Amino acid sequence: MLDKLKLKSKQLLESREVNSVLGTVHGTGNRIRPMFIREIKDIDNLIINESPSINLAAYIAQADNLKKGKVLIIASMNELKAIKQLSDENRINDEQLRVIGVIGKEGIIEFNKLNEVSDYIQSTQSLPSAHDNSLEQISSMTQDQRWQYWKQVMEGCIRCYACRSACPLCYCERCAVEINQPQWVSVASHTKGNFEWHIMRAIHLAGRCVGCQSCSNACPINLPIHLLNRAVNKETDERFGKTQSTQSSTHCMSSFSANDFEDFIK
Amino acid sequence: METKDFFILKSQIENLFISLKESGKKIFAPSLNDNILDFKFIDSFSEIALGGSITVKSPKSVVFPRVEKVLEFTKEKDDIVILDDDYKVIPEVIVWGSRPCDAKGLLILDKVFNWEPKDEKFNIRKDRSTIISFSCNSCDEYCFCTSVGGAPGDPTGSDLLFTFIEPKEGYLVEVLTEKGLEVITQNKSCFSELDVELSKEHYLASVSATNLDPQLIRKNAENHFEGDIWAEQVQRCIGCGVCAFVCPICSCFDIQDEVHGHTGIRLRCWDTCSSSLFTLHTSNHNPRDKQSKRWRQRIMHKFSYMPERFEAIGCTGCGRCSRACPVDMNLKEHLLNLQEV
Repeated sequence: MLDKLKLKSKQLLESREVNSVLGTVHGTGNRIRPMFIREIKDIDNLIINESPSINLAAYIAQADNLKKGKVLIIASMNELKAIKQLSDENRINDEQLRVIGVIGKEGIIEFNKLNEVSDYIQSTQSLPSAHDNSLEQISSMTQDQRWQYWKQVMEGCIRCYACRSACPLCYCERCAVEINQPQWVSVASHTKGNFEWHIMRAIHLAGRCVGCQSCSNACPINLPIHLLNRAVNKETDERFGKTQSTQSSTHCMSSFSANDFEDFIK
Repeated sequence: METKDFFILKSQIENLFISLKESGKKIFAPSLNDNILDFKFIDSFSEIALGGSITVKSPKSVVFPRVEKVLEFTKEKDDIVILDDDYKVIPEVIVWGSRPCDAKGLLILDKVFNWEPKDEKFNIRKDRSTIISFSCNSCDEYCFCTSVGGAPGDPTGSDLLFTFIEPKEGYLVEVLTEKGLEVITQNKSCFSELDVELSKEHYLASVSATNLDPQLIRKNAENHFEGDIWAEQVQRCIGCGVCAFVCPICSCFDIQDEVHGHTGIRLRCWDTCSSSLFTLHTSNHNPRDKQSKRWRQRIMHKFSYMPERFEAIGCTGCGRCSRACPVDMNLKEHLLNLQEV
C-alpha cells in the first residue's frame, strides 16, 4: 500500500500536477512528523500514519500554505472528514487541492474532486457521537463534580493556542480572541478567561468539529478539551437534526430553517 | 563563593522538605498529574516526582508568572486612582528540583528584567526564591545543553545543587550562594559536612555531543537574514505558542486591561513572538506578517540579539520546545541545518 502511495505521489509531483505533497514522515524518536515534500527523492520518506495526532488538513485550511501551488494531501479518515467540512464551507476548492485517501484496510483511494470526498464521507460515516462513549464518564458526574473537573482543566490551560492552531476548522485570519473592540473574551490565562476561550471555541465549532482530537493531541499538557466539542456536537445533533459535518452539507452554523426551534426567545 | 561541599542522605531529604515547609516557605516542585510532569506548588512530599523525564514547562513562573496583576485602577468622579499591587503578598518560594538548564535560564531572565527600567516585582520574586537544583543523571535525545555552554551538573544560577551519588545513597550538595548556605545552616541536622572530595562527574548524564556551533549559527543567521532558509524550515510550524511558553528563557509579555464599570486591573500575560498579531501595528502594517519571519525572529533573538546585548546565548538546550512542539519542529535539527546553509 505504501509503495502504491509513493508511486502515485511521485507521478503527481513529477507531472507538476501538484507542487507539493503533504504527508507524514518519521520524526524525532518514534514521533510522526508532518511534512511538505517538494522533491521527488524525498517522496521515499513518506510513511503511512497509523496513529494520527495532528490533522494535516489544518495546513490546507491556512491560505498561505496553498499559495505556492496545488497541494496533494495524503489523507487518513480524520483529514477526509475535515476536507469535506472545509469544502462545504468553501474554504478550499479543486484548483488548490488533490486528495489521496489512506483508509486502513481499504487501501488507497484517489479522489479526483472534492465532492467525491464529501460523497465518500457521507456514505461511510456514522455520527461521531453515536458510538462514542468518551462523554460517558463526564455525563455520569453530578453537576458539581463536572464543575470541579472542568475547573481543574481550565486552571492548567496556558493559552498557547496549540488547540486552535492544530484544528483544521479554526482558520479565521483574526480569531475572536484577537479582537479588542470589543474584548469579547479575556486574553489572560486565568481560570475564568480559559473557560471563556474554550467555551467560545466550542460554540464556534458547533456542528463543524469532525472529532479528530487534533486539539487535545496538540495540547502540551494533554487537556481533554476535545470533549467539549463532542458535547456541543451532541447538542446540535439533538436540537438541529443531522447537521453535523459528516452527515450532510447543511450545517447548523451556516444554515437556517423555519423549523429551527426558538424556545430560548422569550 | 568559596565554601565546603555538604552531603545529605536520601533518607534525610523528606525531613529537609518538611522543615522548609514548616518554616513557611512554599515549595515549587515537579509533580505528576495525569501522566504530565510539571512544576506546581506542593503540599506533601509524596507529590514530588524527581528523576526520569524533564517537566513540560520550566519553573520560570516563580519569577515571571503566567498572569500577573500589575496595578488596579478606579475612576472616582473625574480622577483615576491607581493602586500598585501589594508586594507583601509575594511569598517566599523554594524551587525544588529545577535542572541546571532551568537555573541558567533564570539568569538570562534576570538580564532581561533588569535592563532599564528594572522590573521591581521580578526582583522581589527573585529575592524571595531559593533555587535548589538537582543534577541530571539521565537525558533524552532532545537535550543539547552541552552544545550551548551548559552541562548536566552545571551549578550556574542555582543556590544549591544536589547530585545523587548512588553508592553513598545520598546527594553531594554544592553551595553556590549565601541563600543556599542559609538553607544548610537552618537545617543543620539534615546535612553533614564533607571532608573528602566527592566527584560528581561519574554520576551525571551523558548528553550527546553535537556539531552545534552557536557562533556559526549566529553568523549564518545574520548573513542569511533575507534568505529562503527560514521559509523552508518553518513549513510545518503551525504558529502556536507552545515553544515560547515552555522555554526557560522566553519572556515576551502582553499587557491586558480588564475593566468592569469604573474599576479595572492591568495584567501582564505571557506572549509569544510566533503569534501573527505579535508585531501587528495599529496602522495594520505588520513587519513580521509571515510565519517564516517570525521563525527567523525566534532564532535570531536567541542566537544573535541576546549574544549581542547580554553576551549570553538565549537557549539552554533543555529541549522543552522540541518535546512539546505539536508538529515536531525539533530546534536542534533546524540549528544544525542553519549551520550548513
